[in-house]
Amino acid sequence: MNLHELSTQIPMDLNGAMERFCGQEAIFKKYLKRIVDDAAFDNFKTAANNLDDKQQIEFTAHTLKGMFGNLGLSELYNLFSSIVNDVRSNNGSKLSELIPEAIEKTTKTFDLLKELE
Amino acid sequence: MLKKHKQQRIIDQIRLDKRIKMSNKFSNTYGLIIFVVFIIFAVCGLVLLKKSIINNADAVGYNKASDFARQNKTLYLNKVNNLDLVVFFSSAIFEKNSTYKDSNVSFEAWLVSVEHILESKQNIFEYNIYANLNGVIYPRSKHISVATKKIIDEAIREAVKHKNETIFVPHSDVFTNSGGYALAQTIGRGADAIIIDYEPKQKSLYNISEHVADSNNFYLNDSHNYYLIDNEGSLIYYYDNIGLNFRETQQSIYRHFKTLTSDVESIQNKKAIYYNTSDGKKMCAYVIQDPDTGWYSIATLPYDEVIADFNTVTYIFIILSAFLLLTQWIMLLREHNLSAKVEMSNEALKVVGNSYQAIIRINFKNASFSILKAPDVLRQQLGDSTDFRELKRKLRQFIHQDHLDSFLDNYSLSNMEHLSINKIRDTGHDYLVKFYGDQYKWYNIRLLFDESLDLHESILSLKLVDDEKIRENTERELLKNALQSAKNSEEAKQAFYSSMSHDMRTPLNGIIGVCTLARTHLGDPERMSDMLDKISSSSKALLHLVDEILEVAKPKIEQNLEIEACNLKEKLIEDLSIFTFTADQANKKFEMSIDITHENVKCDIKKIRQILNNLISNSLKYSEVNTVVKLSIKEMKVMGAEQFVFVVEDNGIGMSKEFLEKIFEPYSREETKKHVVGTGLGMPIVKNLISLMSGDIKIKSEQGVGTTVTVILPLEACEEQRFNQTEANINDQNAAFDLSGLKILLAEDNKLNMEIATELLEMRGVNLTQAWNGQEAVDKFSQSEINYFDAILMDIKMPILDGCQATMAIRKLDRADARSVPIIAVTANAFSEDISSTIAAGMDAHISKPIDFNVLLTTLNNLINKKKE
Repeated sequence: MNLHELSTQIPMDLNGAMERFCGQEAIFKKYLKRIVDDAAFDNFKTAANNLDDKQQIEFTAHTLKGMFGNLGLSELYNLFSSIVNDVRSNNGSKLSELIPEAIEKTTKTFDLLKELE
Repeated sequence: MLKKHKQQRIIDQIRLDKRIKMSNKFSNTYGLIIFVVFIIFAVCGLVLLKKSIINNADAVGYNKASDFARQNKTLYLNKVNNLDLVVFFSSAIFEKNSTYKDSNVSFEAWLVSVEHILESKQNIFEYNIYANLNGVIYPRSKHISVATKKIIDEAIREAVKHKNETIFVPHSDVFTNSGGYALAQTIGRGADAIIIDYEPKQKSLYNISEHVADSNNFYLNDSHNYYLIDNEGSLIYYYDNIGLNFRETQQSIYRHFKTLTSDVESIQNKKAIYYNTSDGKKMCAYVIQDPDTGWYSIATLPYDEVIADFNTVTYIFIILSAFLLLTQWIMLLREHNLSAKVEMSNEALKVVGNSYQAIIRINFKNASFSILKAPDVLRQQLGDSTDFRELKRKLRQFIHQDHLDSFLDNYSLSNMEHLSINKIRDTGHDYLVKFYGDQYKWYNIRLLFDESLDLHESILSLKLVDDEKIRENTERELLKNALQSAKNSEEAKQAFYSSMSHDMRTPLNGIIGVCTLARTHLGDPERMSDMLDKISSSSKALLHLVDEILEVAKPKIEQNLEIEACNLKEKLIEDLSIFTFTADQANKKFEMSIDITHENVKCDIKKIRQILNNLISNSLKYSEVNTVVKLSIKEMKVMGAEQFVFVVEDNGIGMSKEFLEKIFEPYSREETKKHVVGTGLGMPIVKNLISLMSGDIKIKSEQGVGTTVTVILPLEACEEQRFNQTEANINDQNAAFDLSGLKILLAEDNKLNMEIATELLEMRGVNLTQAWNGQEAVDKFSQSEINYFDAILMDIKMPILDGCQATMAIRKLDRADARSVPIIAVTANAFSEDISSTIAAGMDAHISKPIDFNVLLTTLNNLINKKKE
């Protein structure tokens, strides 16, 4: 699967990301694949097991938000932004809805990233 | 709603009926089985009873037949004896007299006399004794009818056939409708014979009802019918109450003769022989055959009479069964009606029971217990024990330490007894209990007494009330806090009123005093002018006080923003310059710097002015002589929106940490400086206004050092008046500035983000130094040469030291570039409190992740150029 095909499968700001990476597709793809192996997502899932520790959930979601933002994965960026916002503004009242969706979509995205050429 | 409720009730009723039907079906089936079994046993019993009755009837019948036969035999034997005697004496007479001729007269007379004698001995039969001597029938004087002649001739024939044997010749008379019989025996060797003919004396002998004279005759009074018939079916005589004459009876008997006499097995086994009369009546016959005469003595009884008792029993049984069925039906009906109520009660009890986690019955007299319901963990601990002390020991393990003493006290045996004696039916307390897992939960433990229990018994119930208790505690806490808050508010209000009255009195007294004084200087214009100034000043102060009070009192709903486009810089310079003069008057200094890209914004300038007025006023009020108060206004772009940062900084007297915690509470004032006029409402008003504008405020203060107040307001730049910064201008500026060669310290804790940022920055020619946390950033900066780093890109959320802490640490370093090095917050968060935190910490700008390199270029361009300036 190439980048273009990936962008049809998942919502992403491909142009913005490529601009950020100065058009260096290889480097961009390298980091896209790297993100799958990063511990940040596992840390988030671990934190998500305890909804009472909202601080940890915010911290791990905040990390992922930055990572996904840098790599133009806009849907995931927005999802994790919502989680951070919910903890900061609503005391995490919607976490039980947001977290499962975020995990599901992140897993799906990671599965697609594994197929990236 | 009512319809829905009604529908629900109908559904509930249907469900209840179904359950009752299921329940009743089981009990009905059970009842039916019992009833069927009962019927089977009853029928078997009745069959056996019938059999027994019939057997008894057979036994009785055969007894009677035997008696009848015996009697008949006796009678017959008597008659045979009589005949034998007559024959003997007749033989004797004839032997004495050799010829008949001479002796016949005496013989005839003898016959007649014997006849009379024998007849007189009984009154049933007429005796007719005949002798056939040489073909002549004696007594010759007796009239012999044709029928009698026939009988005699037959008797003689039979006697001659069976010489010296007594022969029996039954006969009947159709005219007299009677029957009789003749006995005959030969005399000597010839055809001479003696014949005794027996004729019943009364024609209606056989009809019991007419036989009053024979009321002592057993056979006539018995319910059985008796018949004596010979071996050819001729009726000899009979006793019955059927009402037929002799001929009819003979015909009837003869009709059934074969039936009655051929069933040898029944006769031998003494079983009744059944036959039907001509009118269809079923009869039982008990038949005895005399082995000597071959005669049949038969006793009969209508079958209906035999089983009359059985029929009675059967009828009674049927009536009883019907009564039983009716009773059962009534009981079932009653049970059905009760079932519904019982089912409802049971359901309700079940629901109530289910809501309890444990129900234990305790006998406090013998200190025992039985478990009706309990958690598995408790049951396992208790095993088979019924000792109440053991129960308490085990419960101790589950109850929270803090509640243990109370529990042991309240649920002791002696206390239970006390409660029972005093008829305290229901008492309980809440305890923390840990049955499952590691968490204690609230349980309501109650003791219940009731008359339905034994005198020394009670029920111990445990019910989980954790949610309710927590809610109750929370509500209690809220109420407590509300009460405290109300108290505090009241105290603050009192303090405010006290202070207010003083603050208001001061200018009022001043006004009144000056007015009084003015009266004495009416002719002195200069003095008058001075006094008028004083009155004016005091009035304004008073008015300001009143305005602030009204501001706080104003309901929030009335607080709307009046957004209009304006040149923020010009307005603020115009409005706030007065403070330069005010400060100067108090031997203090006020400085203002405005560094914003978008001067024309849409905002509620009045409220912004009010905010800044309050803050600057406070700084000037709560400071000593020579204090410097600085107002700086900056603009930051965060996530595409302009955020305006207003910082009011002073080196005044500062505020204590305790006061900072309640600075935004109405009426709160720190009395660190005397004679300061104020309502304590200024900061609450400021906070309210900032919130209204979706902004944020942060206050940093230290007593004896000073105070820094940072206010961040998101204001919308006016598009048509972006004359300072067009996109073209931005690009032009950025084109002249690039990142290559810049030495940047990057603080980031996430490995991948660090790699990406490093890659992206080094791709653009940046000379990058990495720091993995805030402390490392501080260390690397402090270890670097002065002015080595052109800028620091600081992540906010980092371990050991976060971005704000690291920035504050860097700013405090004793080196020339510590305060000047541009520090830019790079973070994914764009909350106003984050921005205000970063600004308060001393950061110069705030850019968000993902990094927009145009924004980064612009920001760095501005900061680095500014640093150079």
